[in-house]
Amino acid sequence: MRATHLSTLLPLLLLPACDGCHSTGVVPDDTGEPPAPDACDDAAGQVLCLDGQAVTCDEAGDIAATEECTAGVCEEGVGCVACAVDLADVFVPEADEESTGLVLVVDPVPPDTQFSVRRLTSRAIELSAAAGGVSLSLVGDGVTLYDGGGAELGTAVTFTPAELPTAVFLAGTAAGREATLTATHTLAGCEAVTDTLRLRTVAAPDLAGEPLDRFPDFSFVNAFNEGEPVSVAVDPGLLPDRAGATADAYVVQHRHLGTWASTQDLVDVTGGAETLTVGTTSLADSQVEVGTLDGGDLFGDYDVVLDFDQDGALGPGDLIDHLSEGSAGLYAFIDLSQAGSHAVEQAQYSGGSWLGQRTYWPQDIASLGSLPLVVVSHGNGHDYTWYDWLGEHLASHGYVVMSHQNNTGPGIETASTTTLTNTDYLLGNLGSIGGGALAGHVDGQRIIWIGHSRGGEGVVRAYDRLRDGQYTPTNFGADDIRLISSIAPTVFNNVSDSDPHGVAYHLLAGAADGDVTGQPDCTQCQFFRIAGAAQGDLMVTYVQGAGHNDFNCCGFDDATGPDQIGRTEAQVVGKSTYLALLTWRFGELEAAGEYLQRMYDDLHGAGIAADTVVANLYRPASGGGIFVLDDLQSESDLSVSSSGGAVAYDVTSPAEALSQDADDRFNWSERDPLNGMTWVDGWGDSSRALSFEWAAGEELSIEWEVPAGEGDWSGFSVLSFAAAQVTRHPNTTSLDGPLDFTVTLVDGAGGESDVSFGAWGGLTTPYKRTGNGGGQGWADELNTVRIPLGAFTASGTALDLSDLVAVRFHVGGVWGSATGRVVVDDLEVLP
Amino acid sequence: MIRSLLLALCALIPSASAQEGPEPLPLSELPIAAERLLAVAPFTLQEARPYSWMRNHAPIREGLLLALEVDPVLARPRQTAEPVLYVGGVAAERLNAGYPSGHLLALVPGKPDLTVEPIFFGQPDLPERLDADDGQRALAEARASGIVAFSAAQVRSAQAAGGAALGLRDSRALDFAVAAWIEAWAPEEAERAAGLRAPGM
Repeated sequence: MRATHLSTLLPLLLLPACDGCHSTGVVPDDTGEPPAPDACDDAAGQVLCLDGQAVTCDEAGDIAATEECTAGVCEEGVGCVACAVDLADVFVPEADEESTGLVLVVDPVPPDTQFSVRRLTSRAIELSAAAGGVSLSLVGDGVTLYDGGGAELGTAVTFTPAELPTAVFLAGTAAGREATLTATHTLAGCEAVTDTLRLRTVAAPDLAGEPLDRFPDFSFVNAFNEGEPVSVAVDPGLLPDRAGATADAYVVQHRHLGTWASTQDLVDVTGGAETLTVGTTSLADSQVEVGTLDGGDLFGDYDVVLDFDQDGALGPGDLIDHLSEGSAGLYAFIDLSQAGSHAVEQAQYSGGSWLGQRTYWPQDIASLGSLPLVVVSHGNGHDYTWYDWLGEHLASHGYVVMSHQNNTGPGIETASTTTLTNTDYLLGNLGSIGGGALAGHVDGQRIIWIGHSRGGEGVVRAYDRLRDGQYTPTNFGADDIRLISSIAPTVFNNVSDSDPHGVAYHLLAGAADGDVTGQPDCTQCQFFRIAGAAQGDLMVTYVQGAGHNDFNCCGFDDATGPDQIGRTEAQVVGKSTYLALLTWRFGELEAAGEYLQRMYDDLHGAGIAADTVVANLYRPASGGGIFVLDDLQSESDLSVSSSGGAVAYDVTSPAEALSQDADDRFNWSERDPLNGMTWVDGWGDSSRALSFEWAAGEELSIEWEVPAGEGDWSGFSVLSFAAAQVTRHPNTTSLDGPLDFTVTLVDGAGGESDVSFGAWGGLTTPYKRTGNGGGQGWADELNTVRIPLGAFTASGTALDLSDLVAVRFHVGGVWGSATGRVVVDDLEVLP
Repeated sequence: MIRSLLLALCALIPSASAQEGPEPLPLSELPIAAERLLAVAPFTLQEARPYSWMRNHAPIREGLLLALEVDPVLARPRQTAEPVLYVGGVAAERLNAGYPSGHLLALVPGKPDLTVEPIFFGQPDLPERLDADDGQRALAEARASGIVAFSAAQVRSAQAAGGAALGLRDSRALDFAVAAWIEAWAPEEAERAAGLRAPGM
């Protein structure tokens, strides 16, 4: 029995005659004998049960009617009552109750969340009966049964006739679980009649995202640029009970849990709700564009609600992205290169020799609490007054920024000293700087060091000195340095001395750098070496066409190479990147991190020119629930992964080696399989990676076995690896464009699912700079490829994420780019 | 003839190719002497000042301020391979960019005899890693390549241009003196001078 108008009601009906009702085992009490003529003498106006017959007595005490209760039992005072129980749900057809069943979403709310909130995404069951009572039995876990007042009902509850009708609610409390709800008619003689509904729980899915031009057809994300279209989708494979259903899709201003509990009305901010009809099987026909969003001062936060009962309010049976204590369902960000809403003050002063500083802060700092501190350490021959572009930008968005005189001429040690002393000086003189405006408003426990060039190595060296106990500041400590970012840093020291340790580390560099060039015959120029030593979260932003001095105002033009983007554009990239990075790490807004985690083609700052090419790399720190399938680091045997599983391949010319251009020239040589990799060139560098190729016309693969006991990936959310095109290889030159291939997951039952990561973007073509050997193409540019595991099971694709046995890369024209040579590293799955 | 003239002109005009970057450092030609000594002035400091341009160098209380004319290509600040400026066997402290003007200001400890100690660019290195022996080796290489000190007349002329000796209290006062020299000899770097003069707290 299926209603066309969706409601959250699951009526439990006991009907005298019930078409389609689920009846099992009717036990009539029928002797076949007619009632005695005087049966009603003492029962005028009543209904009697005699020998399995319902006898209706008129007001005169005569028999008015008799009925054989063949389809049920006789209930005194009522008459014939059918033994019939039906858990009917508007989403689930009768025939699918025990198979497809009901899917309950589990929102990321705290375990002790009150029922007033939980009910909003629960499913309501209305219980009623013409006669008798109903008992409910809940078997399994992950589901909780509540009464209408929010009291938990446990796993077995009986409702007497006097308690009916009533409403109960089913709420998912743990994802990935299964349960059954069985209703039993408690009327005497009907106890064998039951109806069962299968229940499954899933983590409340994202609803907002963007269409893709290929399977999985839709990508669920949280970050959007202001003004770019937002779409909404429901995967019928994940929520099969919604297949074919229609909902009004609302995008509303984000509300916190408590606010949703008190206010459920839906006010769309895109100009009106759109209608979403969920397809029967595929995400491709289960999506709708809902409009564009405003980014406010920095971002706008929104929730998506799919109103299935179309009552204009969030309620049981509806879906929401998300109901949570912290984050919103989606965020729209402004052009991150644009100034923020705070007017900026600045002061230039000196605390003595090598303590000259220019500090920027929001003019309204007095009302902003304690703000993170950004310290900028310039490069050799540069000046501390050259970073207005960054200081004013970040201060306009609520940060305190201090750029200082940096003693880089002698070298890295002196540069690191001035980073340390200047940070100490500012923190020790907040009562004086800017007339005391900063006093009480600089958070000395949230410090970000940004260094450029020799200053870029200097800030890393400074941190290393703190961690190694070689320097003890007065006003801060190592733990207060929460993020280090190096802009095109030199690498004079061994990475054991310029060591980021476990701090979050970001690298920004330009491929057109004419000073710290990144070329393989210059050990000090290979800035990726420091990135390779980072043990904490690592982020890399590599910008084609950007020169060294594009990241300050006034250094000479050093840019070398084609398609130079110029200082203005490079600083647009820089502003966008730093604001996203700081908003993520210090604004504690995970969605902002998507600008550094997602492939650049998929998401980048709105102000960046369309033809600017950037390679994003993101590698989270090890641990933290990450399973590394192959780090390409600790196991040098090509046929064995670092996790101990077998690696089988037929790709051509595979090699696992140091991430080093072995002959110090960018031109390709077969003796240099990791040509163009510049992550290793000195003592202490140890990064390793895998490289392989395929030619036009070939369809090849490489497969990693998932070791026994490690195949339950149901608790992970993303498959991630780093990859780059090998510069100046003939296949790279022939392809002359972004590269992609297909990733396949294989489960223990032989199920497979293929996803081409080209749906999100390709591996960047190496920057076509000449020099350092024949041909064109600069250093290999590692991009992080992140594929949501949900993509592999999209649209009901049969793959058991709890029993995976292999990950396979398929390369070749059928699977992606026709030809190529790639470097691959850090194959892992993340929570 | 016209074709030859055009070819000659093309050789003079910088290529419009976007691949080209900054002028390369003439590494193979190092060491290279400073071209002119523009000005020199001795200074003293009441408070000793660290000298970090040579390893383990003692703090200084006296030195020379120098204004030099050099090949701008050598002066251009570099992050990696920057030639070390020596006065004799001592790495001099560079005080400004000196690019593109070619007017490079420097500071050297003590009272070196500039008619004896040549001023030159040696091999690229980080000065903080150089010790006295390294300085002497650089000097020997310079002398072997024919680099000589400025003449007495050149030095006298520079001393006249440099003005009276500077009696300074401390590093901060020296910063102000350097700022004045930047404004005098490399006015295009006025912002650097202003940065040195940032007011105290």
